[in-house]
Parts: sequence; C-alpha cells; structure tokens
Amino acid sequence: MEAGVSLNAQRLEELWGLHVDRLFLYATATLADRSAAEDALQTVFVRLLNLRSFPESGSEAAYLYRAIRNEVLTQLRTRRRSKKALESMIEAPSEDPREAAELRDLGRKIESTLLDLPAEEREAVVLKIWADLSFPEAASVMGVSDKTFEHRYYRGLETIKQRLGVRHE
Amino acid sequence: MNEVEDLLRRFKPVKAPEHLGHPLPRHAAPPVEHFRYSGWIPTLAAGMALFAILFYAVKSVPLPSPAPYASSQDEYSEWTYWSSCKIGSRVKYTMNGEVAGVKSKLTVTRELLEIGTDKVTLKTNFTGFIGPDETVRTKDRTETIPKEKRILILKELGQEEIDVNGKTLKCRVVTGQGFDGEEDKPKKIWISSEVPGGLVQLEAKSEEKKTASKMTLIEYERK
Repeated sequence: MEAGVSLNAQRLEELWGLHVDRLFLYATATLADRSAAEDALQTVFVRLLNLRSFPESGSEAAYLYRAIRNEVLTQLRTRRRSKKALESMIEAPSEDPREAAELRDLGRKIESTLLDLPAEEREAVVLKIWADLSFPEAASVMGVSDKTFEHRYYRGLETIKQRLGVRHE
Repeated sequence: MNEVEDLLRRFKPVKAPEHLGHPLPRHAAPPVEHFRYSGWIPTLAAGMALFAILFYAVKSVPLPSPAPYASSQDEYSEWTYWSSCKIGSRVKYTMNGEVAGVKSKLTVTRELLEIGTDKVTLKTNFTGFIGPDETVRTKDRTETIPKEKRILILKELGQEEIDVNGKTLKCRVVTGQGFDGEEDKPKKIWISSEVPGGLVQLEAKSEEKKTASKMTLIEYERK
C-alpha cells in the first residue's frame, strides 16, 4: 500500500467485506466485550471515511489492525471491562451434527483458554491465526520487534496446547 | 506447534453482527448521478456513519423518568416508562449529530408496538442524511428495550417549559448517565411525564469520541 492511496467508498466497502469478521474477532478478543468491539470498529471506519486516503505506507490489513488496536487501547484506558457474557467468537463449520456438537464444545474451550491468556499473548495468537498476518505485519501492529512477537505468539500457543491437551503426532 | 495452529485454524471468526455497518437500503437512495458530491458515494460508508451516530444517539434515548413512573428518582427503567403507555403511542424527533466530523440530520419516529413483562418493543424509523452529499435516506428497525435497562440520574438542574406542537410541556431537566454506567458520558435531558418515553430534548457530547448530538421532540401522541 502506498501512502496517500485513495480511499473511496467502494474501496472502503471492499476492505469492510474483506476484514470485518476478523477485525471484529480481534477487537472482541482484546476487549472481551462484543458491544465495545462494535463500537471500536465503527469508530475506526468512520474515521477512515473522513481520511479519503491511507495516511501511511505498508499493508492495508496491518494498518486496519493497528487502527483497531489504538481504538481498543483507548477504550481499555477509559473504561472498565464489561462483565457482559461473551458470545461465541469462533466456529468450525461441519455438516455432521455429532462432529458439529464436538466442535462447538472444543470452540468454547479454545475461547475460554484464549481469554485466560495474558493480553499480549492472546493478541499475538489472534493476529497470527485469525487475522492471518505475517510475523513482520503482526509485530508492527503490536509495535514490537519480530522476535518479541514470535515469543509472545509461541508462548500463547504453548499454553493453549497444554490446556487443550493437544498431543504431538 | 503446527498441530495447535492447524487446530485453531479450523475455527473461523463468527460473522460480525449484521447491523454493524449495514448499508442503508439502496432503493431509498436517488440514482448515483444525482449525488452532488462526486468524491464520496455513501453506500456502506453512509450506513456506517449513520450506525455510529445512531449507536450513540439510541444509547442516549432511554431516559430517566419522573414520578409516577420511576421506581426511584435516582434511577430509571425505560421499560417502566413505555409500559405505562398504550400500544400505538408515538414520538417524533429531529436529531442533529456529528461523529468524527461527519454531520447528520435525521427525523426519528418511535412507536410502541408491544408491551411485555420483561421488555417493550418499539418500531423506529430514521429518515435523513449523513455526510456532505445530503442525500435523504430512510431506515426502519425494531428496538427491544429490556426491563433491566437502567439509567442513573446524576444531577437535578431544575424545571423548564418547552413548547411542542402547540402545547407547553413542563420539563424536569437533569444530567444522566447511560445504561453502560461508567462507559457512557453524562448527557443533559429534558423530561416530561406527558410524553411517551419521557424525552423532550437531549444534548450529548463526547470530546473523546468526537461525537455530539441533539434530539428535539417535534410531535407526540400518548394513547
């Protein structure tokens, strides 16, 4: 992405369609509050609407996650975490009802484990797995070195692995 | 670690809520060539801006209630207020808003559809424009207001008389804080027990979120 690239309504709509579900998961996992996550997404996209062009170079996805992150941090600084129950953040589609039920249970366990992780590890896992960013992109979103990001990411994965009881093949 | 990554990747993010940034219905908009402002065609963008404005506004709409409806002078349940009206009671407001520099002017109509023991249901219509092109659009939605929603009255500011549609309403003026407790900013509210929902006027502003909105009652019918 080049700095100053035009950001018209059509492009904004494309970006929204492309990233909204993942951005929403990222904001929800970080804030542990769906309503606040909606708020963060709306605020960021309304701001983008006024920018009319991207203010910096680099990947569009990384810019969006960084913008969401800044908004989330603002919210975390100014409000207490909501005690509202979290609805599902992730799901695994399956046509087999029995497998679907098992996956739902597993999904809840993963969500619960994810939310129990230290914030920086949780954020790293979400950015890498569900936002599908590269290590350098994800590190730039969090404002840390690639190495620091990798440490956080692998520590998070290791904890998830232990808690879920995933065995080596 | 690949097996954990593979396992996690089997799970996809759930769909973001449909109301999030949903564009206004295209049929309500004039043809694209009629937009005066050529640099910005408000489809999704207008929807998102509208949602953002309405999000803050609707959060602000439920109001503290004066006696006899409120269970306490310090706290209000909007359900209590609406449930004292009959089906078909309605209110109509003009609403001027601004979110992050995007201005809007809307007419908001709310009509009582259903009263339940734990919620009331309202039919709400928004008609107006968002942003620089001033294209008028309309959107209907159904609002459900649960009984447990509360708003805290922070300060009594006195009483004022406001004329609405040829009738003078004696209003209680307060500052209140919304349903989300400390997450919401205080707002100034004019209330009358004669009006369904109680709201006569509302002013809300957030420097942090760069939002400002003002709602003014222009019509009401209490059945």
